[in-house]
Amino acid sequence: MLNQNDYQRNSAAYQNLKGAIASNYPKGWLIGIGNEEIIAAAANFSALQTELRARGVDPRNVLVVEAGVDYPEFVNILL
Amino acid sequence: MSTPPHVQINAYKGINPRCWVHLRFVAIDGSLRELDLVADTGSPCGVILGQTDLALLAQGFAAGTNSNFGYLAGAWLELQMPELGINTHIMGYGSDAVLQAVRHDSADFAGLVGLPLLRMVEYGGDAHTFWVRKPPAVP
Repeated sequence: MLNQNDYQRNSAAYQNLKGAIASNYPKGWLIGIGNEEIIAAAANFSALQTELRARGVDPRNVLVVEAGVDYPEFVNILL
Repeated sequence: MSTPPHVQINAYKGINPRCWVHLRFVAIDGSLRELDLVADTGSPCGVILGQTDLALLAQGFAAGTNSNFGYLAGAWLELQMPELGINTHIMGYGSDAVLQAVRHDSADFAGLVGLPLLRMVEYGGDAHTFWVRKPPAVP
């Protein structure tokens, strides 16, 4: 599974790739980020898993983000 | 004659009675893991599990976020609830602090589900129970 260091590197890369993702992929598509770059994209998670595996990449070693989604930096859980 | 839709009906549970749902997830080894999760329409997170369950069920990493319970690690989870019309991947989070909070009410609880998941079904409740069911098909 993706280690913490890779997770942080790919998360930081995602911040820089946000603009390219928004302009190059349809809203709702899932984008796989590995080694700080986009390595695969597909319309749904199952298709993305298939594409990643075809390239010899374990989907669990990839950061997957959804095009067109602004992820919140902070959420309140009211338990 | 049409078959009535499946309805999951759960009596409120816990020291402070909580509404909850029973959900089935696909683990990374292909096995199924069934969990009782507090239903909280006020939560903006689809699913929050403990870190151990998240590690067993994560099929890919997702963007994490900060919260009033601390950092929530993000992951993609596979839900398999055909009786509720749900067979999909959904973004979830891991937090042992949230797990501890829901377990304060009942040790049965493994986390919580929020509005992004509850919007996939129809839900409601009365004085004694909370229910979820498959939404009607859109013509």
